[in-house]
Amino acid sequence: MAKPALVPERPPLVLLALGALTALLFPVHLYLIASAPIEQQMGVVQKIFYFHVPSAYAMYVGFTLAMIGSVGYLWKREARFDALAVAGAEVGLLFCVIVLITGPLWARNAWGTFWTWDPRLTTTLLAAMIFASFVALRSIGAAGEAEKRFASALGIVGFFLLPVIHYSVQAWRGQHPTVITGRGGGLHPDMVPPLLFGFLVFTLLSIVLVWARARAEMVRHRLAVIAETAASEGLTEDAS
Amino acid sequence: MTSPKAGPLALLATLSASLPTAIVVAQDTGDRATSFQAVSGSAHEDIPGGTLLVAAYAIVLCVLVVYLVYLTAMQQSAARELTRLEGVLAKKTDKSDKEK
Repeated sequence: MAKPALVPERPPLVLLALGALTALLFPVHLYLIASAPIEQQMGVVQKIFYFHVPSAYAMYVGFTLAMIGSVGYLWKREARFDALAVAGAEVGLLFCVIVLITGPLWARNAWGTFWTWDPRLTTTLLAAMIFASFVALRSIGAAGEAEKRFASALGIVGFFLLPVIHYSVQAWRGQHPTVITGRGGGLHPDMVPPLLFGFLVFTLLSIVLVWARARAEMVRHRLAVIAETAASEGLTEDAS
Repeated sequence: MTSPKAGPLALLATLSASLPTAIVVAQDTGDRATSFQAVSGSAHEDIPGGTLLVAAYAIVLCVLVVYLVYLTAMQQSAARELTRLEGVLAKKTDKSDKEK
């Protein structure tokens, strides 16, 4: 009888290709940032925009996938949805941290302060705290059914902050720029390519990272199931 | 005899009356500047934009590299756990075969 595959041996070719493509596109993005024109009012620090905004978009991708995984897990109770939720939350949080670091570095020169309780900044921080709770909850030991369900609820609640973050600059008064949103004045044509390329690179990166992390979570899940089964059947005294 | 709704209404009226005073008190933080003094010598506090830009990009790369290292470590840990389980199961199987 053929030995069942405990874990997928190698990552799929598509994942490897996407990872390699993303790694190759990063230097091109850096070149486009360097060759973009310097902004009239803010100077060179405005170029943070070319990876700050795509990071925010990648954060949206991660948190949306976390919500899809959370809904799927609460509905079907399948490990693959749980893995997607964990991966999406973790990668979304990663990009959220990048947003919350690069934004203040830009603000230091543009606003004269690293932080202000602007609606968009505050709601983004709130989303970071919700998904940090999700990740912390799932990082403490072996997560049981209750932890998984509670984390899924957090993933869904956190997702509903995304439209609030997005429309906060339009709905409430604040200092955050509205360059590319509905009321924005737009970008100089030479500033568009690095931004669009940034969206491409960071979206690809978020997909690659979520995919890789979800695979790792599935492997951990399968190993935990195998160890538990082996221990319960008395095959391994010290397997758990 | 007073109506049962009189208590909450009186409380609401008191709170409403004290609201303007509360706002003034809340706004008077007490830590605002009361004078401006000149520094001696040069005072450069502005951080060059280029430094902030490079720092921001370096932080992005560092965060991504740290996450990739974390992912790699997680996969290595899973591989070690798999090897350990295989070893334990193999020993157990050998032992069972000898007993038979």
